[in-house]
Amino acid sequence: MESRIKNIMAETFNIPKESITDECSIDSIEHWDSLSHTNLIMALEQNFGISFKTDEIIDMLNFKLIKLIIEEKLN
Amino acid sequence: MFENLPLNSIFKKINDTNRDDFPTYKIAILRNITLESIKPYVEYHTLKQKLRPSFYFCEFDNIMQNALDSQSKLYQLAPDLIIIAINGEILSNQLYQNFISLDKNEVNDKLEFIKEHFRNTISAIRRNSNTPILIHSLETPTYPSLGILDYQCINYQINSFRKVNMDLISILQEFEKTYLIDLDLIKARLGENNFKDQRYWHIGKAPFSKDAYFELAKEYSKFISALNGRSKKCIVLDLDNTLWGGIIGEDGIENIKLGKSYPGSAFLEFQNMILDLYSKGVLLAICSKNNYDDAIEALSQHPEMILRPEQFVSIKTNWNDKASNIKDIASELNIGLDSIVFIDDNKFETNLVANQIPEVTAVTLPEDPSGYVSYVKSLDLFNTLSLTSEDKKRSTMYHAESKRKTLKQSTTNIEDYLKSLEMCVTILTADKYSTPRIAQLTQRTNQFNLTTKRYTDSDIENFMSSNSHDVLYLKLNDNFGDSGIVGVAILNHKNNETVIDSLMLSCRVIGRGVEDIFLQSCILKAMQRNSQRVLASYHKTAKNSQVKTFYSQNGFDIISKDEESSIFAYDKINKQLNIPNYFKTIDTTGADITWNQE
Repeated sequence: MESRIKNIMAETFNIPKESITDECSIDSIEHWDSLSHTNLIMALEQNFGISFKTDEIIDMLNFKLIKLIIEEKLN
Repeated sequence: MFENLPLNSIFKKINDTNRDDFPTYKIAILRNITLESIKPYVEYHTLKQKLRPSFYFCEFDNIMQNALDSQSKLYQLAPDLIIIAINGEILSNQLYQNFISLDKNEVNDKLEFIKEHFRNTISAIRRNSNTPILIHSLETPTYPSLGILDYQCINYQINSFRKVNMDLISILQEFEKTYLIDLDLIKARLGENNFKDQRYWHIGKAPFSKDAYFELAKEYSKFISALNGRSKKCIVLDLDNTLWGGIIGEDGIENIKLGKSYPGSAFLEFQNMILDLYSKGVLLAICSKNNYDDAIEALSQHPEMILRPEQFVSIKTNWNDKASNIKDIASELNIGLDSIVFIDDNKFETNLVANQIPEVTAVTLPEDPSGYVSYVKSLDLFNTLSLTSEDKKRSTMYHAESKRKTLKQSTTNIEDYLKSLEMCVTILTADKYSTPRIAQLTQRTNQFNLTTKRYTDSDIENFMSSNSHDVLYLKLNDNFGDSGIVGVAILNHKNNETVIDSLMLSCRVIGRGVEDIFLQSCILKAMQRNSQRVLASYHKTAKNSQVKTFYSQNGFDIISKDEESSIFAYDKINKQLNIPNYFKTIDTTGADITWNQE
């Protein structure tokens, strides 16, 4: 699951998977900005077959929160 | 019906494709919404066209400033395409959100304001640039303010928007190369809920969903392909279980499925769709593993058959592999492999063709024949931006070409054969009626094209109005039919020299001496313009190697040469070229050229 999220993030930002660490956030990754954030949300929704609320989209600005919110949705 | 590819897979596909050799295609987007997310989808849809799009987004809601300022980044960039994405709700949110609270005059004022805004924007751009423009229509509300009552009256919300969109079409017709993107059509394909994403609208004024970006980008790419003259020219069709149900060789003509009731009705519908493409000028051919007699019997004798043998320019019914057959068809018709679409119900055949000739678009029909038509329509492969009368005639012209080839095989003396065709060549100076076809030829001609310069209607008009240029075109008529306008030459006269800017002939007519006549006409024109010398050049492209030596074969001297191009000069201007004597008539009076045939 973690690895799946990281894969999607790496493909969406077109950066190596290793750069997606557990600690990473919109501030630490250069290719992650408000526009590519939209892309990331879309890609996550399509891959996991889930849909985020507007508030969640605004919150999901680091890897840990992304993982947490997706886990909540899937359980 | 659309592919639902996750966005990260789209990114992967783009990043895994080597696009180093793809030319850049610059797209400038003027918008009052956030539209940046469409970028990967546009990149994805233009992969097949081998283009690498680059994007310039004007500052949010800075459309007029960009359009009016001749020094703006928009014009400095010299884009290949300008897209105007004006969202009506941002322009006038009351029309969308409080329509009922507005009185009739207020509504009218706001609608007029919107229309004027569109007109002013386009006209400002046209004062500074001739780049093709795509403009989004206004989205019509799916749940209009007065509900079921709303669509009963022409002045209520939904019909007010429909009317603005209709008026917008008329506004666009005041301008050249300005086309509408019908957002409602895209919404209808996807449905309201798949088209919009209210979350991003509220977070960042991005109105569209991922599916809408996908479809919208696909729609852009259809325009890009048509603007670049990349539309498909020919469909190669299988027979059994494609044009009819069942196998003619086994079931016999009485038992194949074709008619008013299912499953025959699905095949009938499919044939009707193909007939429409034929009427639009798309060439039809058959490539099928059948006995020739069985196939022809079915096509000509079956009472419900829509497509008849004479509508096909080439019929290959044999047991050879389909890739070789398709290559034969391409060379018979003198068209590029990348302009061919191959349709078959059998995945083995389409895979084989896709594998052997990747340039050909190979389409596998869905398993259920009732889905044939909507599937092929959804691929939307045959887009053009205008319908010329030449297009409608093209099919019959190619047909004559096929017949000529057959005749050629049976005669041994080629000159006698050519003489028997009774060819009449007419060379004329371009006029406003021929401009669209001339521009189209510059766009579409790849093989017999010395410089491969692509021109638009307005470029051609500029040449026509310039004193130093001549735009000549060539028509050919023979026993088999009227080929129409098949050649274009653009001459530029200056300082007692004439430069052949462009010279091209449709591949259907080469190898018959027409090219020599055309070149001689250019030289005569140069003489008449008091030129002492004719300069000409050959620019190498992936497709025009056959004309590499055209000028040197006709007595031109090579004066410079490098990898990409060669420049030639001809100063024996008073000497007549070797013109074949098998033409019935050569008429150049319409181009004001005096022709002394020896």
